[in-house]
Amino acid sequence: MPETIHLPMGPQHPFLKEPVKFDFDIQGEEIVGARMNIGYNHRGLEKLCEDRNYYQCMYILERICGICSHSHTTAFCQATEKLLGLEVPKRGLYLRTLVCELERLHSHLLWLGVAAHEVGFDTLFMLVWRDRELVMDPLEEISGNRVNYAFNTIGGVRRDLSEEQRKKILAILQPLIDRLEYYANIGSNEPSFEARIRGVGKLSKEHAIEMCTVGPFARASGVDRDSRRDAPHAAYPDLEFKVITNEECDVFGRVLVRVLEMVESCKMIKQILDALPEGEFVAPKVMRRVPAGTAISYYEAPRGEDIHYVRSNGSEKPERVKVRAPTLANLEAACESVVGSLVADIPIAIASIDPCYSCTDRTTIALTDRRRGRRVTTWGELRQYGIDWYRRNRGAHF
Amino acid sequence: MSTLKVALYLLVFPGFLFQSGFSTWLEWLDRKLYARMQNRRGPLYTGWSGMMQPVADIIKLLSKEDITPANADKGAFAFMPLLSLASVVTAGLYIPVWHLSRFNSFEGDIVVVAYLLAIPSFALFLAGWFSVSPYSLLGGTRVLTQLFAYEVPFFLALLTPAVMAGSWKLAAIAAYPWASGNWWVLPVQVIAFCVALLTLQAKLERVPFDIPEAETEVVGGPLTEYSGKKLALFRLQKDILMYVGSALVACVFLGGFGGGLWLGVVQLVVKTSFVVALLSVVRAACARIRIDQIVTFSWRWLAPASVVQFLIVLLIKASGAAQ
Amino acid sequence: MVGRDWESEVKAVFGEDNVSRGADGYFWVQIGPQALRESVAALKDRLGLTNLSTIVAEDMREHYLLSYPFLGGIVVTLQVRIDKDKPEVPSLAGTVAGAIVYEREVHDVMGITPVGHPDLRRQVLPDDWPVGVHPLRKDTKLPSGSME
Repeated sequence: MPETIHLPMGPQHPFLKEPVKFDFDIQGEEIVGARMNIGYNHRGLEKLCEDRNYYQCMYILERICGICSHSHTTAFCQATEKLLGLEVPKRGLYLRTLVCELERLHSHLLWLGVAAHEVGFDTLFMLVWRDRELVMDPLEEISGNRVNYAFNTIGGVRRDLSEEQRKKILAILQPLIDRLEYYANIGSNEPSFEARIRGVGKLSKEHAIEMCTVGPFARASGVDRDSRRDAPHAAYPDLEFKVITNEECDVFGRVLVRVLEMVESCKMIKQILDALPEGEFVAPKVMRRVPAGTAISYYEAPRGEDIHYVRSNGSEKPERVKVRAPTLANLEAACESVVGSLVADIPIAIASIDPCYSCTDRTTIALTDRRRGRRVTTWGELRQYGIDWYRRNRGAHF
Repeated sequence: MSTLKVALYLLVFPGFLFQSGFSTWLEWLDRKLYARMQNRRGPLYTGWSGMMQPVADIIKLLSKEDITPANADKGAFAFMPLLSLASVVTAGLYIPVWHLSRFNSFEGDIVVVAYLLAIPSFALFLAGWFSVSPYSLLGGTRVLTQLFAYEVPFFLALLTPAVMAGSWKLAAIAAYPWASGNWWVLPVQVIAFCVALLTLQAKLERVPFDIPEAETEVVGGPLTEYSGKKLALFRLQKDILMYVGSALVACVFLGGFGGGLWLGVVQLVVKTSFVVALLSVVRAACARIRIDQIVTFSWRWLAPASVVQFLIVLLIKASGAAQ
Repeated sequence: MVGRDWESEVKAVFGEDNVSRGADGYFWVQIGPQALRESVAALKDRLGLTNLSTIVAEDMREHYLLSYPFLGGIVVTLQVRIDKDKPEVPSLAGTVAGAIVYEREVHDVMGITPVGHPDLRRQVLPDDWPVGVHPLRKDTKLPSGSME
């Protein structure tokens, strides 16, 4: 029986893009135990929302995550619109959905690059991220921003789409589909890449259901679950799309599901742009005071369903906002799925859920320094500390 | 041979200065090619077209703070970079730069070079062992496991041309196709050449065999705890190892036609750059494989392939075609 | 989805009075803490809903409220009132494994103990957070100077 070594990974580790802590017990190269510890990214956003009005909340929630910022505002706007009983104009819904799908494209491309990097396939990483610019350009063109689009507003969207922009987006779709087919081909035919993703991070269908996993992670285990169809929202009831599932139950399946989902997204974007209704894109009059009540809103973010729960007390500010980002639902299952595999499989198995820890950790308040009774170290203090440290230890003066 | 001349040989050419200069240039070539294949620009600003970037990297590391972990064995921790650098530079001295006129060319130098090139792997393992951190330990054991996987096919592949040439002297092996007029032996050895390329890639710990220092898995592998000067020495050692390994493969597999000092140097530069270019293509085209996969791969495919090549060469020798 | 009369089915399971339906068609079911496990089992067996989306904890000032939304063709949200004197709720860990992380979070931020939970580590709060301070309770006074 070889000795068991404790291998900590995180909160800072090259395979993590954001802080989270994993503790693995390994025997040689084999993993015999895994635990996770999240909560390094808390900013207290839910509490913060209780102090702001609904419009301000939207800007706070947009900043939960950089990749799926549109998901959070859409989910929140939907919940608020339900509370207000507001009818959103059709064109507004379509434009909202357009950005949703563009965001899904850019997020999945980003993930594909990261996954390739996790298994050391940097060429694929670079090429995918180059092609991701195809999607980033229209997003910037539509909303003015590459990351936090600030495109949603309660009752619709903030900007209209011009005919010229419409044509530009239509023009990227075919090149993008060609590239996606090429990547699907690499994923299933490049021997060294395939060797690293096939059979890795196994998650059975039963376990996926039991752990309440969501999104492409669940769909790659054969769970037919997609809130775009199950809890219709935005313009999805009008669109035709397939829910992509795969029975491989491993990272290979997750790559395929995401790539095929991107192709579906391209088709949806085409449908949206072809059938874009005329008229208003935002509801003309929105009350600032929201009637009392509760609402739950589902939204299929790139990583899975994003849920916002909003309780209003009849004032301008929400009583409670609760956000459930998809990563939280998947993380525990992903962590368990690496037990029994090799250390080399950890990065790709964890990355296969497309983890987004800043989405996951959003609730709490900043750390307290009990010694000084202060919340944070200010920039001036930090600078002074650095100067003192170097003077004491290195004799250097600044 | 005067002392001055020996000192020149050791320190300037083909010794330390030439090796470090040329090997950093090779690193630039590798980085540039790798970047172009990935649709990037690569190094751009330091020197012409970024040619001085590898040198700048090493100088930067030399000027950085040098930290030794509290639990590490201080002496061994500091000794390992020196040991591995010394062994590759020594190996580099035996690479025939121009044929037949080398002061340190002797029967059996191919074996010496091959063994000297194995020392850096052991030094890396020990470096990981003496750093006492989980990632270093894991990386160090991976270095050794990988060594056992690729070393035998590497030796077998290298010995094929030696058997063909009927000599254990690098200069004689390199000169054989030209001297004997049997140029056709070069294409015959293509299997061994491929095996040597792949195993060299494994020796250099580059994608797809960069398992010991896979960044996303074990951070820096055995070098996780190294910093400053010691890390700079390790980097220089890696560069020189790339030069010596590529030059060795180029020397035994790609032949040459003598021609005195200057033509000899030009041949060395061109052949070595060609091998490095092939290595960067391999690096760009693959994902990193797992440690169990490299062991299977090299014993299931590389070792039998080199044995087959060996048999082919023996048959040719026996048939008398290569006389 | 279509062709199934969800409203009468949900009402048949939980009783006419406990079920209300929002304008968006989502169901809200009021249950007591003791009935939680049976209700979740009934959702699974009789309606086929297994996907617990999250657990929302709220401080309603007179009492706490936990909401358990389930998604699967329809959305059914179980709402459980918890007394302030006894902030405890039966844990779902044995029935729905996915509930483990959410219950841990509820325990952290609202101080409601899921009874029977296998692993109540800190999840969202830092490890040096004072014991017994739950930031999302409305009456929480945070340690001095920690909130502006």
